[in-house]
Amino acid sequence: MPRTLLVADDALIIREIIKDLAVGAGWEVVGEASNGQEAIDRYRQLHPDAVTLDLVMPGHDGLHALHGIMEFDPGAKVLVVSALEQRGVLKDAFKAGAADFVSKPFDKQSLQVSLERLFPGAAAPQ
Amino acid sequence: MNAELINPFLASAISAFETMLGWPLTRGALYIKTGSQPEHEVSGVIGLSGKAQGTVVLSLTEQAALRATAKLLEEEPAEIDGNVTDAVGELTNIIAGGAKAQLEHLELRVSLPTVITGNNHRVEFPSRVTPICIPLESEYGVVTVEVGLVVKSGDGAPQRPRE
Repeated sequence: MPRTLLVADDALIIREIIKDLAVGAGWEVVGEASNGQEAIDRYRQLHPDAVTLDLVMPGHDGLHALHGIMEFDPGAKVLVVSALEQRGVLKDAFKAGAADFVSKPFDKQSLQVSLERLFPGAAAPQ
Repeated sequence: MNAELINPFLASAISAFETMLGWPLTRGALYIKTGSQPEHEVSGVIGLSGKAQGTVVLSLTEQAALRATAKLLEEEPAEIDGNVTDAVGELTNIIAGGAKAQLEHLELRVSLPTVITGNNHRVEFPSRVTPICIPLESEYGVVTVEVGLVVKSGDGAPQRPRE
């Protein structure tokens, strides 16, 4: 069974890029979210194996989502995919439980590698 | 505008195009925008606020905007559509975000991007702002980054940076 992924980013085009890349790497994208609260709600509903999460989103932001997701599931695998706008925010994200970070702008290969690293030692999803 | 303010936008634009699109950009000579130069066909506009106020504009030819979208989405748009405006908006957002990280002392906030399309459109800056244009050559034509940023003085009033 392919691993399942939730993609949270306010920019539709970034969600499309991440979805295409993840599907090409064998993931099943089970949901999308365009703000932090939607990401929490979709995570609770879908129980994905991993989440890609933008930190800078309008309304409830990615940090809000990260706290909400980790509270619901302390073992959640959250890959932050965000512009490195403020170092402090990134530090807060790791403190809150983010598994890894990919800085925007990203190249597709580095994002793919980071997704694979969420499950070290496992074969790539089929 | 001094180099301290313009270089982060230049570096961020080059990085965004190189990383997201695989397009190397070559910097041309900077010039001051006077209002008489037309934009390219697609412009992404983002407002900046905080200890400085201003605007950053990413302007592309139609061909460059279509090619950039095709590269990002791996499907070729036939004309300027929602995918193209999303792509240009997000590239503008990434450029502004990258510059913001390098100008941390200005505590900038970045607005949501607006994208303007059409031949001969112009993005006007407030009269107290001196926008600097950075032409960047790509294999699909010139991409222009325009930055007009005014650092606030200690009492909160905007102050034009030295040029």
